[in-house]
Amino acid sequence: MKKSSKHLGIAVSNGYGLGNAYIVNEPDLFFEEKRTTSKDAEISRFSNALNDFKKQIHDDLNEAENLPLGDEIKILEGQSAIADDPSVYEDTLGLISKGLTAEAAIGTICDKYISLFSQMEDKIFSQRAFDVKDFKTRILHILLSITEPDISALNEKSVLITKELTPSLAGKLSNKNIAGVITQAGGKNGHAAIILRSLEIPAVFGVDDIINKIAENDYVILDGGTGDVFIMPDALTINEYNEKKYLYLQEKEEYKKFAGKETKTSDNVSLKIYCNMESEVDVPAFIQSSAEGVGLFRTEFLYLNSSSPLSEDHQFEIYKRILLAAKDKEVIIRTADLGADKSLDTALTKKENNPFMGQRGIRYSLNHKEMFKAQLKALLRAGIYGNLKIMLPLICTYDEVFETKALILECKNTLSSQNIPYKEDLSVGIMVETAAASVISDILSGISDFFSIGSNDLAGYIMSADRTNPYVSDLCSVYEPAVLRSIKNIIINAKNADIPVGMCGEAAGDPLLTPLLIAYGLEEFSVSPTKVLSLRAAISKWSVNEAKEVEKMVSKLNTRDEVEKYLKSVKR
Amino acid sequence: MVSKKVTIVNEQGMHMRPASLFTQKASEFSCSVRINYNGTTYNAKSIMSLMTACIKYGSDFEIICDGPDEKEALKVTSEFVESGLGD
Repeated sequence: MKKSSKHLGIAVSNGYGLGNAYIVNEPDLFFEEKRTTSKDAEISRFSNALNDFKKQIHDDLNEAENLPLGDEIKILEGQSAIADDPSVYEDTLGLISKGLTAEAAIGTICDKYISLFSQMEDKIFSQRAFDVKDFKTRILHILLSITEPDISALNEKSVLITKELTPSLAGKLSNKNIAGVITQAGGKNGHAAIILRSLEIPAVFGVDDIINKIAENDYVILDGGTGDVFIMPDALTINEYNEKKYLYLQEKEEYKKFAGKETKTSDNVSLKIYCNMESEVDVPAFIQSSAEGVGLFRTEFLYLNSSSPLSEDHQFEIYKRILLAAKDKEVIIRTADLGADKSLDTALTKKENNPFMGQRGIRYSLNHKEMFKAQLKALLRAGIYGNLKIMLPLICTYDEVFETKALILECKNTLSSQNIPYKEDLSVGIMVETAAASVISDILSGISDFFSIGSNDLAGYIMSADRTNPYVSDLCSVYEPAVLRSIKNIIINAKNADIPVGMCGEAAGDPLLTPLLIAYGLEEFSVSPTKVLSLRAAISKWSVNEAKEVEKMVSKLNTRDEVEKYLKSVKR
Repeated sequence: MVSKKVTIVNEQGMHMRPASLFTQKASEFSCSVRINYNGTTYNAKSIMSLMTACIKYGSDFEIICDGPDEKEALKVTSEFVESGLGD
């Protein structure tokens, strides 16, 4: 009996896969560099391969249109653009004329683009590198007459093992005929990974030397949430993971029941689940998630992803599109939280010894007034098109809010004098995420229309610990009594002033904290779109009175470990 | 052969979407459409070629058209750049 072993890879697609290894060997992509045939023969080989490629893409597109595979369609369209590109074609012919084989010529051209695109900082461009890489693999397969591996023998108990999964093979899988996928190479954001996630097939990529560690039919377990892989596990592990898989699938079914439902505690108290969004790209996920609004739309990425200062008009168009897409749902847009790790001016932050305590958030905006006014005017104008609220990051003092409100008034006057329409009565609220804001939240409630607790930064600033520093990062825990008390205090002060209070950090979606946050009186939980349904399910399991019992117990505990242990023991 | 100097006025520069719109416009003509930017020549009918040029906001470049419908091609493509590349 083979010894059991445990390995770690990159967690690519959630879920548990248990079954027998089905190894698909990497085809041999060996080819001659220099051609011995005539130039014309090689050119016609290349042209034929390109035509075959286009035919394949066309067929795949027809197939994908019948399935819910929006992501795959985008990937296929990207590849077909390369096949149609005149420069790619002409440059390849040029290299063939110089004596290269079709394989070597197209390979060289592709490598040139892959290296050019992957060097570009802009994500839109670096994503192109994946397109070219996939195109190259596929066209080389055609030129070398390598057929797609036969996967007809796969069944629901097979775990596919391969060196690197091609997107075209990924697109042919289904969660009905496969238990999971493990690969040796590939990343979380590659095309194959995107496709596996949309097909809901559990997967772990990048497991070192897996091909040589595993034999055909070996029993294997993969955990797509953690990246754990077990080869020939003992009976105990198999039982444990069978149980986990069962619960996971059951939960997934259960969560589906909460789609489109109102968020309510078990005693029918209505709460709200909102979404956090980083860019317009997240709009479809937000709509699909059935969240009741947007609790945090970050705008710093609009600046960071742009090569030039973002104009008022450009921002206005983006905000308007988001508000129109959200229909009448509430959308909280946060003004740019630039500085610290998200700096426009890297030279400047280098001068700061401690950028997280330096010129970031509202401090940066108030020191760059022209830029800030452009954003405020864009927001005021877009406000007409939906249910918009403005939120200010990193507030520490009453004056910062006051000064911003004065700027908003100035912007309104400018817009009025130019006869540009804008929304008169926009709510202006603040992020409560600094130690200062937490301590004076009663004062700040007098000048803010709402609060949103940024639990990640709050934990960092309250605990005076940097979560990116491995020596102290464990201090940055919301379970710390200091952080919990501060959250409770903020919520109480908001309630006393009768203003809405939400939370947009990771803690909002942590099911262990759900009863505590209900007991404190949190009204709006803002989480990533993927967590909306599980949180709605978690909230439905608690009544306010039961949650208050949990809170009473937690308030007597002294350490974060005690808090975490207790919350785990009462988790529902 | 005809040519004209133009300036990128849209703030995003020659990004993915503007580049693909520009390529589509250039491909409507049978003459060759090339761009000369920073001493390098790029094929304006090729999205791959155009994207590697990474032309930023405020940059000047030259559009060069060569072929039977070169005048019309130069007029359409240069006006498209000056109008902000559809942004």
